[in-house]
Amino acid sequence: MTDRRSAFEQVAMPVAPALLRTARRLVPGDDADDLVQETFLRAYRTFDSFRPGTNGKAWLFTILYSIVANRWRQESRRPVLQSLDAGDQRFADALSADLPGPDVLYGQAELRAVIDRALEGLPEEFRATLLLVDIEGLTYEEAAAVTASPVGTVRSRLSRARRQMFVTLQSNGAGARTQTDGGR
Amino acid sequence: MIDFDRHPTDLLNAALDGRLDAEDRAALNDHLAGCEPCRRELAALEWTRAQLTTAVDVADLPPDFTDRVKSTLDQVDAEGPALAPPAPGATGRRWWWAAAVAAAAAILVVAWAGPWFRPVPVPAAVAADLQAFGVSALPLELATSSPAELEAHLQAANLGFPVRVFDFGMMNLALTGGGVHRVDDERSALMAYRGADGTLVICQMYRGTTADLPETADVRRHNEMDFFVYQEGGASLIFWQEGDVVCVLAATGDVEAAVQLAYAKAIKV
Repeated sequence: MTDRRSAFEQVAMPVAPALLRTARRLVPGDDADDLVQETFLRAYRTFDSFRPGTNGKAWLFTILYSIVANRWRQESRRPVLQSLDAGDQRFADALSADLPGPDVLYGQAELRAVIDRALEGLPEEFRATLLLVDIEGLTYEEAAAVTASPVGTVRSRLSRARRQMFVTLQSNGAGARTQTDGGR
Repeated sequence: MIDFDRHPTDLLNAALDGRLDAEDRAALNDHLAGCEPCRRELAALEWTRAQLTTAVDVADLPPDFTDRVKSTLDQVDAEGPALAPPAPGATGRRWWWAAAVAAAAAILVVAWAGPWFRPVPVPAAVAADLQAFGVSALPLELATSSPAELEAHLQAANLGFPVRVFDFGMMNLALTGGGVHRVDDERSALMAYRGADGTLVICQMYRGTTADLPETADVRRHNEMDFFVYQEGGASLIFWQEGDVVCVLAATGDVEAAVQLAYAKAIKV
């Protein structure tokens, strides 16, 4: 094994599970696995562009995101236009409701399913930003570089994504509670 | 300093993510002590994040995943170092294709550069953009043959400079589309063209100065303007300055033809 190959595997292989975790939530079905393979291919081909000692995880996520974003463009996805006012009102309504959260009503596996459905309901760029910051632990600046967006856009997308997630999770909690209480 | 005349809801996420300095955090805490709605909102955001981090755990890799990755890396290793230009008499197309695919992989990375990427010289980056266009791997926000439509799209992007979409119809080059791109970590206006004879041309405009470009021995003077000519990976690249904007035209084919296109489109500012 060459030094270059060894250095690349040291940087990249530990990140594989995180890449797959995110890819599965950015694209449907079995494509996530192929996208991560493509990420490794492109990353290895361009490994000379990586600055040793810097954030290899963010570097790989930049490549993954560029592949996913290109695919979104090819599928001619249009951003879901959401009314800011309507979203804010739904969030305010959810805040004022006194509902238990899903963790009270669901087991861990069910919570996972509820979270995944809630994530699917987010616009793609919001979902990506939320995953990069809250799950993968990137800073706003790193997420901005990964998604080629200004930091302000990251901040805005993250705020709206968290609000929308809260509304969806609370709605699921209300539905389950109604079921549990026999429709009361 | 935070304006606490209104609820600082914009700052709650920043507080949650530890991005406030000590002074602002203390001021926010004072506000929260007397503001129940903001406390509820912060609690809701904390709760939401906790649900996410609890439920979304590290993915199990499929059993053959690591083997597949290593097999892919083995294939790249087997390809060897950068391809040499074709031997005399050999068709150049296969070499062009393979180099373009590799370059397209690179440009998709360069286009979203971060501090973990080594800086790529601008001419090389623009040449990679052209190669990516050649294999349909260059993102074009808007597919259109209308210069006016693309120009309106780019003006709406607020790039900070007036955008001109060059019309090369007289030169038998058809606009295929364009959009906002990046050059040298600056947002750029990108236009892409194809000729009936297979010629590829991309043009970009971005805030910058030609003084930052690598040195080139090929500098042309025309209409009291300097044109900096580079040749990278089979492409000719011509840069020139219009005010505080750098314009670049990258083209396949004959370098002198590309220079003439640049001359035709440059405007002395």
